[in-house]
Amino acid sequence: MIRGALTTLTCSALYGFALGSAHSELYATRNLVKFPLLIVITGVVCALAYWIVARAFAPMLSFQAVQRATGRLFHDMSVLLASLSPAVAFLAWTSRATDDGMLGSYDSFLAFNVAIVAVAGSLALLRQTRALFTQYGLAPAPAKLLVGLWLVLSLGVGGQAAFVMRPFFGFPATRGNTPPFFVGAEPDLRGATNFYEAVWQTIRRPRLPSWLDAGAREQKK
Amino acid sequence: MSTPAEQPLSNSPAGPDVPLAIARAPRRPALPLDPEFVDSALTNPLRAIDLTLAEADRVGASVVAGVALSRIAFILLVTSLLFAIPYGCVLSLAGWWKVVALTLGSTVICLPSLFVFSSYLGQRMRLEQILVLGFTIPAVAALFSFGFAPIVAFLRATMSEGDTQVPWRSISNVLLALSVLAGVVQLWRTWLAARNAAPSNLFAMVLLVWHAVFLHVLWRMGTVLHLGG
Repeated sequence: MIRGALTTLTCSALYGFALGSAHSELYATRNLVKFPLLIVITGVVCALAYWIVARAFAPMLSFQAVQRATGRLFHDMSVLLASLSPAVAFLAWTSRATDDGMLGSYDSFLAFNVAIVAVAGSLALLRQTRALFTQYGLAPAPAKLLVGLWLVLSLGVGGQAAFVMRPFFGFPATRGNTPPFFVGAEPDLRGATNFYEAVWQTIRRPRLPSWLDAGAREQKK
Repeated sequence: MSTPAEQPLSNSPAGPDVPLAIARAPRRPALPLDPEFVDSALTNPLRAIDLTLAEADRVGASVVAGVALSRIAFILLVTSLLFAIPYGCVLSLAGWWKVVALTLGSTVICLPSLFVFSSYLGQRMRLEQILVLGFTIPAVAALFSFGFAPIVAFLRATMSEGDTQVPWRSISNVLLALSVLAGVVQLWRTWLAARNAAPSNLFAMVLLVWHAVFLHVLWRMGTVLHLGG
């Protein structure tokens, strides 16, 4: 179990480093601590909810078994993301070398990382569903529902934890600044002060500040 | 003693080539809860959690058989009271009672109507049976709120109180709604196992209509208690 936890922390640190490389060495090295911390905080805050949800769908799972199962979910996801770290690092370094010093390829890099986190999360989810099915004899439907609910809880809490622990990789215009280790509830570029508001604004897509918005800058010229 | 799923392959109705992993035991009707287990749940919170969340079939069977109903109802009542307090404390220390008032209060207000209407329509359900079914909602909601309490505490600690489109109280309301929904789902799971307790399916119809009254009262209670912020 300790070995598994260490693997999770190391792999998440590797992925965090690759992600932060898109901005600067400062961000990359900070992410060595931030990413494992993100996983620990999410796991600790959700531990009780994971168990209560499991009592309703899989009574045979003890508190420890639930924590082990959710731990394996994070473990698998971290290992999968770590395997993509070289690719992420390559994209990070090349976009950093060629960006315009303003927004650069921030949006496409963000989209790529959201996609690989979604793929890695889904694969880990499928594997853990199968593991619950075979190890505890849990029927497929409740196993899927249970692991799906665990994932929703993790996304809700992990998303807010990640928002508070920003920046993981900033846009190029902020290069050279030394932001605080955690930005906390400070508004982001579009004015969101928490993760859920940021998701809402991603859907609504309000304009960026004019100094960052390429379209607005063109109009001024 | 081996369960049907552990029988030798040659006894499998699907033949010897079917792997054991997909052989399913036939579903047997649940037995009523052991009165000793119910008694132990009075002093052991983990067993009270199991009784509330993990034994819907057996609670349903107990409703049909009339076994230990007063004690089960009492355990559900105490669970509703105690496990909702941590979430209330997260919302505000002075308002620690508000989640209890929301879930248990709304249920207590609406339970007489369920009893009277079902009796009026000839369903002959005993008061203890109605209490066990009714208290399932606040008990399960309290346990889910107990699980969500650390999450709401974390959100409250990390989200600003100021001008924001998605305040932490909105997320809290969603989690409370999910807790109540889980209670309603558990009530129906229990009822499916207890449907022989009523002489006809009319009780299910009464229960369905009663949900509308309950949800309306719950909504109003939430507004009165200013749980929305």
